[in-house]
Amino acid sequence: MKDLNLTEEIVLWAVWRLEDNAYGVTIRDHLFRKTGRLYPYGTLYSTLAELEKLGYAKKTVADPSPVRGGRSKNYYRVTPYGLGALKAALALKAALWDKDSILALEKS
Amino acid sequence: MTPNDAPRPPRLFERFLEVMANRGDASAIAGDVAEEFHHRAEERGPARARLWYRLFVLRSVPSFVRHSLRWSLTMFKNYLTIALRVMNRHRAFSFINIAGLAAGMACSLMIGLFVVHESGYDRFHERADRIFRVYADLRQDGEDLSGAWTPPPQAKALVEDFPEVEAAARLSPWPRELLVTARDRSFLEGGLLYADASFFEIFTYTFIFGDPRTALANPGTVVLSRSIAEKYFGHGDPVGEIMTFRDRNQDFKVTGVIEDPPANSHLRFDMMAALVGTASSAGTRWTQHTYFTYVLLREGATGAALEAKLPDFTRRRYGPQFFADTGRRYEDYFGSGEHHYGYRLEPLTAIHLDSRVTDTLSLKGNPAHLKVLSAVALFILLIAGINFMNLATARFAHRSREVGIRKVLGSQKRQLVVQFLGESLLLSSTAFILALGLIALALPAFARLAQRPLVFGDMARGPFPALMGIVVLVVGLVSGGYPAFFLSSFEPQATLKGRLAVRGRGHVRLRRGLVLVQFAVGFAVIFGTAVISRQMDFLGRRDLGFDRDHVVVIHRADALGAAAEGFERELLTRPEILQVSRSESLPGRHFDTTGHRPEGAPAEDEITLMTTYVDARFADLLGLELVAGRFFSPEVPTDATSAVVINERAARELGLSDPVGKRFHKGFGDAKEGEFVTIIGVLKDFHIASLHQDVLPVLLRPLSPADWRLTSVKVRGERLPQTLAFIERAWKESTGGQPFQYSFLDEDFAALYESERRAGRIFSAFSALAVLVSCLGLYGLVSFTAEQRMREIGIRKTFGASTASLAGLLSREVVVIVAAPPAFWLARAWLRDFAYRVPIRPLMFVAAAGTVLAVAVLSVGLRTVRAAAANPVETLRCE
Repeated sequence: MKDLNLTEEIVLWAVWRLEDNAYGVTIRDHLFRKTGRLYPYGTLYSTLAELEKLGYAKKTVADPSPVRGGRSKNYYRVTPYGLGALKAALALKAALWDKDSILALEKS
Repeated sequence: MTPNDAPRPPRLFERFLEVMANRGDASAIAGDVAEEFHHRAEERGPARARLWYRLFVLRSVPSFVRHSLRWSLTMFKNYLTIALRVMNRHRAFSFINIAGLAAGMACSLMIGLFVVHESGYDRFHERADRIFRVYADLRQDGEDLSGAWTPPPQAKALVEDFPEVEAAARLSPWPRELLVTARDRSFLEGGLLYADASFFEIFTYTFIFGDPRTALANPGTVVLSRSIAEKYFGHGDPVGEIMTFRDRNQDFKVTGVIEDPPANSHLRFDMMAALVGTASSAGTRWTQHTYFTYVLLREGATGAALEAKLPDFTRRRYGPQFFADTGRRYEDYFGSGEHHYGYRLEPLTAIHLDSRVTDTLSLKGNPAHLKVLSAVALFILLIAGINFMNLATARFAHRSREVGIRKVLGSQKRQLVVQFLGESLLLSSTAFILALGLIALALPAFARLAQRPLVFGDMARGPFPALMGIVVLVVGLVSGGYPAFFLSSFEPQATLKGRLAVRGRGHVRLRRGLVLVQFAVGFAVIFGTAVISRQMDFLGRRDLGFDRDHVVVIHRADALGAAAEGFERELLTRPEILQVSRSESLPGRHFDTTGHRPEGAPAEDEITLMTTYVDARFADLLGLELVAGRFFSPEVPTDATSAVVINERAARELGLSDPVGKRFHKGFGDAKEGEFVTIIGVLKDFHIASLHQDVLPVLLRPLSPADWRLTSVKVRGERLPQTLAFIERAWKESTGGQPFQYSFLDEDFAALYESERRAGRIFSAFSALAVLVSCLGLYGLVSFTAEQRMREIGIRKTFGASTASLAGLLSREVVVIVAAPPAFWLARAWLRDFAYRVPIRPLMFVAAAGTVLAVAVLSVGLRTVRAAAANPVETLRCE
């Protein structure tokens, strides 16, 4: 299993949080609210494509809607494999950021 | 919210976004942005939303450009590196490839220059499309005697009778050679013509000094070309200066200077003098044919419409004169269908290539030669293109591994296609640049050979830039196209494991097919060259019925005047000078065409004979043989007035079985009833014109001083320069230092085939190149294969498989014989121009095919032997 880099981790996290409603607009919106950063679609989609290739996310193409000018919508879902990757990332974070480390960082 | 009343994102930017977006997810991205647009439109209004949309798209441009350009630049660099590396690795091979194509391009471009030059004659005149030349369409006894010469009063009559004729001008069609003096400078000038005042109204020439409308209006005026004006008068304005034409003892006043007339015109002159005021220009006889007549039609009038009115015009104008001259009605004589006389028009721009009649003004183009040359140009380009394609394919085929690696590394088929096409375009462009260099080097020589002023700069004009672009593109794309599409479709595993491309039989067969096409073309070209050179050889060696060798012809010999006797006596004191003779003309030059009929024969039985005036030594000088009677003799006084000598052909045409002593009416023009001349001798047939024509009926009349133009001197072949120097010295002494102008009779005669000879030389030069290029290609191909199979050859140390493949290749080359029928047909069409021609023998086909095969074997064999002779240790060690 390949480790996630930070962008991948963040995007995969957003997909996981949005559950059934993860697609371009909602992911961007959600990340904006959480991080204050507006991710460019180019970054989002190339990351999503990478995640899909790694088997961490699964894409389903939904029917086009008039609001989208008759264009299809790509929904993403986290695969069990992807869930494992997220857990591993969390485990790594938790291992690194134990109480001592956090205290030490705040004091410095 | 319904889709109809919902605000829409700006169309243009929407499309732009889709183009820029990632290929796979373009639709989804555009959809996302559209959705966001809608949220914004609902929250803050459509105008703000649209503004946001535009800004969003624009903001993403820089990163898109950076992204895509970085990759294509990197790839381009990589492609270029690989291309140069491959070129460098097979240096000789690349050179053959590029040089062959460059040579082919250079050849065909030069021929193209020539063809364009030839077909662009006389188009520089502003009103070229409205200018026509009138010619006389004459047929007698079914024989076509049409000529460009027309009666003196015709031009005036045309303007009077037809309102659609805006202007008409006559031109004296004999470029004169005379001694011109001005400001103490004397030169022999060859390019003097006479024309009516309206000449410069009809034709467009740029006047530097003087007024085109009045320049030739008065008698004794002349317009000079810039170079002539500068030769005599320097750079100033020479208008008003006087020039003396010594031979005519006449002074001419300069009234204008024009820029040197362009070379691509059938009208060649350095000086144009006023026709008005010359003795013959006021002539009113419609039965005389002395001038060329050009008409300028009014806007909107067509030549065809005017031509339709000319039969009536001929009857009205020419008819009465014809009746007065011959006592026969025009309608009766020319209405029968056996004879015909009328006037027709030919467009100015068609005179150089398509004229139905000959004239004396310039070397005419030959449309047949032009066609042959165009075909050769195409052939060469075809051969070079095939070569290039073959070699490129062969080389690309050995890069299947590279294709495999590239594919494994994620290269798409499209990228591979672009790479290979780009590479072959690079090669063909390199070849093109090399071709330009070759042209710059070779064009002067070619221009001399073709006798046309072709310059490098011509290529920037007309169809050339487009044409060259097309050639480079087509050759590059076609030759790169096959490997590009073929190779890029391989499965990477297959190419990496099995070197599939090299084993593929399909493209090997294609390559062999192309080689065969090349050799078929090469065969046709060699065959054509053989036919032309044999025919030229034949013409050169054929017995003309007279001895043309070692005869020096002195021009303007009448300048000797009374000193002639002394001059001739002095010449004959020398042992190396065998005979001297005076005449008006000589074989290979112009003979008058005159009508004659035997005594007692009715007027319709008039026969056309080729006439000239000669002295008593003429037959001896030319080695003409008598079959009956005697030649002129100074001892018989009546010879000078009433004796003639004819040749056998003339006797046949006159219907005389025993001609000596027979009389016939003195010729046309000066004919008075009851005046006769007597035939005193009959000569064996001899040719006076090129062998395009059959032997012509000849009538020789005794020379009077007024008719004398040439003196011929028969010399021994050895020590020619000294003899010539001696003749010149004697000439200068006798004439008071007049320029000595001479030629050799055999060369004059050979000049009759000048056009064929030049075409032949051009043809052989280019065909040699064509064959060379195809051999180069074959050699390259074989050496490439041999190199690839060095190990195999090394192991076998015999010819082994390579002999077999060689034999296979060669056995198929016998297929070149398919090119035989078209080659035969073309050669026959060319030969049909000659009354005397060499037969086309089967042996010539065999020889041509043999040459092609020999060349092929040689180029293949050379390389194979070298490969086979290599030390196997060397070749195997590199494993």
